[in-house]
Amino acid sequence: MIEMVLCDLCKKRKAVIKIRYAGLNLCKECLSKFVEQKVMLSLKRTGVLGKLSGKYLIIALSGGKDSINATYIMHKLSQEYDFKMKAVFVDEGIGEYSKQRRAIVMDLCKKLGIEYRIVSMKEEMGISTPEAVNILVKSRNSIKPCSVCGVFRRYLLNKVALDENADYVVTGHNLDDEVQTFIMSLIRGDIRSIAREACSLGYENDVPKLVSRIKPLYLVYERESLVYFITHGFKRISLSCPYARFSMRYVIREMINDLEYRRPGMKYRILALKERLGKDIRETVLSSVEMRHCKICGMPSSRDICRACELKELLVKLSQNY
Amino acid sequence: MVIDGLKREGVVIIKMRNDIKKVTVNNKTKVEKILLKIGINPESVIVFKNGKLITEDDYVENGDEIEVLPVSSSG
Ligand SMILES: [Zn+2]
Ligand SMILES: [Zn+2]
Repeated sequence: MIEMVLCDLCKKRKAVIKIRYAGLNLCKECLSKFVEQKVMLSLKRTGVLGKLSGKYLIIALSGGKDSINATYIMHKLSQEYDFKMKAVFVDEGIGEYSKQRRAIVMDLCKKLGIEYRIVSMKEEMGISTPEAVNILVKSRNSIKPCSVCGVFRRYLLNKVALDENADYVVTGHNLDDEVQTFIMSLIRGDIRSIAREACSLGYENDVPKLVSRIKPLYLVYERESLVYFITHGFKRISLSCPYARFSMRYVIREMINDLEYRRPGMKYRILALKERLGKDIRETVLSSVEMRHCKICGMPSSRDICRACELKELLVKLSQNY
Repeated sequence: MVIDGLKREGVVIIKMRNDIKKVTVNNKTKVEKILLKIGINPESVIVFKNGKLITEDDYVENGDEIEVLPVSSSG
């Protein structure tokens, strides 16, 4: 029999993950503490932790591992820190994929005793993700499915949070998501996005009608999140989003993982750079951007018409032309 | 009888998604080494043996079956 690698911290239990950048093999209990400590750290770092008492949080629950972890951890914190939360599931209408996720969300909320609300993209935006993709494909438009879906989902979450009179929107974004977004902004040469994302680890903003965000998993690697998810016995989803592979994110993810293996801790360093850079350029870049409100829907936007309304109009126009 | 230190060849079966690969290994091989051998970055997957999570520092031997799950596969 081969001896199994034991946890470097408790030296008792079998290791379930190697944290390369820390040089540690961790068992499930020690990983759980490790992840939850990172959550506490990011909540403290942004000053959000001290403000949670009496607050009402909307949590974006997609049924994926990260949003489930975020929901589970925030729910655990809700008693001690005295805040209320409600989960919101945005149904994109992507056939079995959305159905499966919806069922998982409802199941989890019932188990944890969390209120939830289901928002249909078709009902709210007049179009589902597959319908939008269909139009884009037929008209040979280069906009990627994830761009439309992402804009609509963000838009709806903010809208629901306003409607619910919530103080914060919680999302499951992990460290890998943040690093990928940063690299994608670099590739697009999108300096505004870099400036805007500078404090995206959960920040107060003073834009009217834009609900502040909290990202509990901001410092958690995606791989750590997956192992946390599995070792807590959560149900793994068998279907993945059929459109994910069209995203640039897919390519960048692999590339960054390669770098991370060769230079452990690389993701952390990119994240730190992102924050530093964002803070340094924020004033200069964003001072010229005036936040106003969309002429069509009244939601916050840096332009006359917000990105969601613009996409909606574009899709209608495209669908009339073929 | 296996004499310690004697190099033996063996086969480890690797399942990934619907793919099954057989890798020839020397007796007792580090998981990390096997993954690299078939072109998988250990940072982008997690590994199970008999349904239990192991790490890339664990060893496998002849006849073992491991399941490799890409981190990105379960959004
Ligand atoms: Zn331990
Ligand atoms: Zn609008």
